[in-house]
Amino acid sequence: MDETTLRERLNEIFCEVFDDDSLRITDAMTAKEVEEWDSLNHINLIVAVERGFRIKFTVKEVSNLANVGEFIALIRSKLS
Amino acid sequence: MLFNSLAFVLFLSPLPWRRWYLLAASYAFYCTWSETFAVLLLGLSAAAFVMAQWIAAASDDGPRRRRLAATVVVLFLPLVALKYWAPFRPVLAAVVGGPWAAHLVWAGVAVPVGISYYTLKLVSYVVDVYWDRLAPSRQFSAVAAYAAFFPQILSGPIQRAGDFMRQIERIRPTDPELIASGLRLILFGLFEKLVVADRLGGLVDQVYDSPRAHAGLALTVATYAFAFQLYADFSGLTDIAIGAGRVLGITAPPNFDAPFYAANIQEFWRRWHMTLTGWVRDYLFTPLRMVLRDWGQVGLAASLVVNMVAVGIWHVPGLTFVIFGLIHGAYLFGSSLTLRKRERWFRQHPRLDALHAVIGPVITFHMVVATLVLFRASSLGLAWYAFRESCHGLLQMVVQVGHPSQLGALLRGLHLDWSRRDTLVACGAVVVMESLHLLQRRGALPRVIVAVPGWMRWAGYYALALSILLWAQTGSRQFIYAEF
Repeated sequence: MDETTLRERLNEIFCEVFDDDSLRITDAMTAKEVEEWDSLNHINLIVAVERGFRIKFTVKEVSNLANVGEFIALIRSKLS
Repeated sequence: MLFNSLAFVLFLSPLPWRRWYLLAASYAFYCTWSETFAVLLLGLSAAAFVMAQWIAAASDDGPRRRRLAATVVVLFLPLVALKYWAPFRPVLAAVVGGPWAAHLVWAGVAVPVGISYYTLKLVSYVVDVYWDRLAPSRQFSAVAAYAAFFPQILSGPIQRAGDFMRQIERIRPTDPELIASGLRLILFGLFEKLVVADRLGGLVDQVYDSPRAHAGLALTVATYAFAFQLYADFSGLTDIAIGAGRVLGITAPPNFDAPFYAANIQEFWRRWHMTLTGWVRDYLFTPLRMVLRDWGQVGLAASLVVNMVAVGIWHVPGLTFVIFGLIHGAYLFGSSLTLRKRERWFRQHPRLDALHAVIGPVITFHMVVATLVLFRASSLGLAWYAFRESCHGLLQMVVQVGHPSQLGALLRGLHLDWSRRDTLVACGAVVVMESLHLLQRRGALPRVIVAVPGWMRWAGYYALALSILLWAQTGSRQFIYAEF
């Protein structure tokens, strides 16, 4: 999967999980900047990404993400 | 010794050999409570120090996970044995039954001071090493100082290892502005504790020490008062702890963010006792939720309930605290199911949205206060009685009172040892406390302090100090949260 498709699909998932069609993800984005991104929705996001990309995360991977950029890098590593 | 005794002041002198000084001072402080349990603290710190390196030494997932499991068991063992075994033994005996029950003899001894706090700190340290968030420390003094740090040992905040150790390893020259802000915070904390919490405590104890001797409005007033007493008590203690840390050059995370103004119950728990709820969220809720993530709503409900029951019994291993946890688990689950629909609905009705901005916090506040009877009443039966009577009293107030003087008459009819002057002082103190909290929330306080002329600032400090001298409840009470 190329970079653009990955980002587009991830953006779609973000819009769906956080109920906001105007959301545009950036590498530097963190949970603090998205209104509904609390610990409850964080897991919903993880599950949605797992289903959307057909990958599986571990607890350690999920707890160590500093921003969306790192999340994208993690997804990419799982896909290859 | 407790923070609000004069001897504490002696510990606040900054020195250059910070790490060793802090370690020695922390253990000296701890030994004034118990030398035996100081050995336990030292032993547990040593275990965490060694086992964290042991975990990091394993590169494969399997062994690494097993080593973590062993470490967590070792670290929790004293807490479970000393605090939880005795209260839960009858339950365990009933469940296990028969001849096995006779073997459950260990009755536990006293609960060491601070164990609920330092256990969580050390566990967070080893789990952070396991998750590769942190390299295991090569300095035992850093780990030992982290666990024993005396401003935080009584009642937190539960600072994370990375944050603390980064500060203690990077010894910086004394910052006078940090010391000043620390002293301000200590002064404010003493105000919260001695003027707000202890005074309200005088009213609350009159009713809650024998709840069935009172009815209706007395319990309503006492329940509301308890909410503010608990908040002021804990906020005061936290402020003294954070302030003391600052005087010693260590910055600690806050525990409160004006929680009574939270718009919904999820937000409340993001703003109340933040270091505890953050700990439980990161080290219990998230891993559990991940394990149960394919169970849909059942997984969410189970994770929330386990999470909140853990928060409840972390305070006190008792039935009332389990119920507290169950109720808040239910609150959070219910709210998480409907929050999105509610927010969407209000966005579509802007005028109601403005009303909602006021009513949301009021409802959330009452949802929380309703459960605080479980924190204060000594049994489930008394808690239910207190809750029922508080509701009756509230209804009475709402229905009967057309004029504030009527409320005054109603209150006087309660025959409590509480005068109009007491009400004025308590209300005034709460207003001062909340104004400062709201300024803190907006981050405006540093700017205000700098912008305000020197004489006004000092007038403020003297006013706080004077109010403590005039209105502090005599005979300093135990801090509620130091008993957990």
